[in-house]
Amino acid sequence: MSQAWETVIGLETHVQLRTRSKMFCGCSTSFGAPPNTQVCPVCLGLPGALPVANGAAIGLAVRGALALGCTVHPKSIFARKNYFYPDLPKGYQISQFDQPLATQGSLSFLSPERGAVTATIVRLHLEEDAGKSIHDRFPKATAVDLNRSGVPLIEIVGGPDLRSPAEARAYLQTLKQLLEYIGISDCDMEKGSLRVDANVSIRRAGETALNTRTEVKNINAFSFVEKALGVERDRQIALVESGGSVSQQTMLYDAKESTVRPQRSKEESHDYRYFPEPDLPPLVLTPEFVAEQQSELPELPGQKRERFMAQYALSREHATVLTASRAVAEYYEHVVRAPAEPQSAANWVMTEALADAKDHQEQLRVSPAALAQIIALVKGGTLSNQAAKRVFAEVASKGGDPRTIAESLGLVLVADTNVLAAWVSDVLGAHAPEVGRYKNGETKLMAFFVGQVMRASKGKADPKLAQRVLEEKLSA
Amino acid sequence: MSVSRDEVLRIAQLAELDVDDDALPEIAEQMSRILDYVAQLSAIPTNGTVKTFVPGPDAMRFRPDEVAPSPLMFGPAQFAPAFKEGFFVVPKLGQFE
Repeated sequence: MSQAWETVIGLETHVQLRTRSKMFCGCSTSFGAPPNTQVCPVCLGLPGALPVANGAAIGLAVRGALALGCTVHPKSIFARKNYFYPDLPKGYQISQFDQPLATQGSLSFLSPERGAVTATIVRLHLEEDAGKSIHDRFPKATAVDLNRSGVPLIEIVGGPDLRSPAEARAYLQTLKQLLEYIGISDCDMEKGSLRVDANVSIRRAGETALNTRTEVKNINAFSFVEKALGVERDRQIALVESGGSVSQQTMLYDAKESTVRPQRSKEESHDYRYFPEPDLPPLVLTPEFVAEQQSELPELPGQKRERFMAQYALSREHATVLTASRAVAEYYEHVVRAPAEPQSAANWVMTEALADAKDHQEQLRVSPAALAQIIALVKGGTLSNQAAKRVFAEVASKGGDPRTIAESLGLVLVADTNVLAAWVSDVLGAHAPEVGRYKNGETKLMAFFVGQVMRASKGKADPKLAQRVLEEKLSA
Repeated sequence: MSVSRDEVLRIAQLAELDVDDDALPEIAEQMSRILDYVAQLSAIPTNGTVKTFVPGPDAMRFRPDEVAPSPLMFGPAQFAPAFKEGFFVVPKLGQFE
C-alpha cells in the first residue's frame, strides 16, 4: 500500500444471542435442525400472529451493552425495517432505529500497528434474524430455510476508528473475546452466529475528513476479514490513483477469487421505510433490571489480564495468552490455587495444556490438581521436564495419578548416587579424548558429559545430581 | 413541498414500477399534494406537551425464554407454493433481471 494513503474502517457486527427460544416466539434456536422444523405462525409471518419479546434476549443484550461501556437507555423502540427478500417472510425485520437500546460505548484493543487503541461503539441495538437462502442447493432455484427467522441478534455499530485491515481483525477478535467471556453468544462465525459488515474508505495521510465509503459484505469467516478489507482498500487506492473516484456502494467479497464485486443495483435498492413497530409497546428497562444484568457480568478480559500481571507477576504477553479465553483463565487459576508456582503453571498451561486442548476440541483434559502435581514432581527433582511431558500426555489420554503413572512408566529420576556413579564411569570410560580435553580446561564439555549420562540412563538420571557426580569424578 | 420528476422516477424504480413519461407531471403534482397535506402535522405544537400515541400498554412485557412453539395447523409443505426436501423453493434471485 502506498504510504500516502490512510484506510478508515468501521465495523457493523451482528451477534446471535445465546437463548433457547427466538426473539418474539417460542420456537427453538438450536442450530442444525432439519430445515423449516423450528417455525411457527410468528416467525413465518402468518397473518394475525403477534410478537412477544424474549426477556432473556433483552437481558443478554443489556449485558453486552454494559460490557462495552454503553449508555443503556431506559426506553427504546422497536421498528419495522421493510424490505423484500424470500428469507424474510413478514416483508420486514423487527429492529431498532432512531431509539436504540444503547449508545456511546467503547472497546479497547491492541492494534498490531498503533498499540493500545480505544474504538468507539456508536450504538448497540436488538433485532431479529432473517431466514437463510441457499442458492446452490437446487438448479435455477433458491432454497429457503426459516429456522433462523426470528433468532435474537444484537447489532454493534463501531465508529470509523480502525486504520487498517489488520486492525479491524484485532478489533473483531477483542470484541469476540469479550462477548464469549460474558457468555451472551458463542460467536461462531462458521455457524453464522457472528457476522460482520465493514465500511471502508481511504484518505490522504494527514487528512481528517471522511471520504466516500463502501460497505463490504459477505465476510463469513474470521480469516477473511483482513483479506476482504485489504482487497477493497487496494481497489479504492488504485481507482483514485488512476483518476477515478469511489462511489458509495455495497461490495460483495468473493473468498474463492479473493475479489470484491459491486452488488447488483436491485440488491441494494435500500429504502427501508422504518416506522415504529405497532405490535410492540416501547421497551422500558427498570434500573433494577439493568443492575441485575450488571451483577451478572464476570471479570472482563482486560481487567483479568491486568490482574494476572499484578497478582501472578506474569508478563503482558503471558497474561494475554492465559486470559484469551475465560475457560483457560479459570483453569490457570485453579492450577495456581492447587497450588503451583504461578510462572511454572503459566508455562505448562501455555504449552502442554493448550497444545493438547487444540487437538481435542478445546478440552483441557488434565485436571488442575493433576497438572499442579506434575509441576511439583518436576520441581522436587522426581521427574525431568521431558519425562513430565510424557506423564502429562498419559494423564491426558488415560487419566490417573501422575506419580503412579510416572512410577509405572519407569520415569522417576534416579537420584541414587551409586547408580549414577556407574553410568558416569561408563560414559567417562567411553570418551577418554573428551575427558582429556576437559581436564585441559575445555569445561564447556560438561554439558556433553551430562547429555551422555542422560542417554545412557535412558533419561532417568537426575541431571543435577549427574553433573555433581561428573564434577567429582573429573576433578579426582 | 414539491416532488421533482427525478424523485418520482427514483421512487418508481424502488417500487419496480414503470411510469410513462407523459404521466410524470401529474404524478409529481399528486405526490406533492399528499406531502403538503401530511406536512400540516408539523404545525401542531408538540414540544413535549403531547404524549406520542402508542397502542396498547406503555411498556412491553417479557416472555420467559422457554421453547414452546405455537403449533401450525398443518406443516409448511401444505401451504408453500413450492416445497422440496424440507425447503421452501423460490425462483433463483436475479433470474429475471
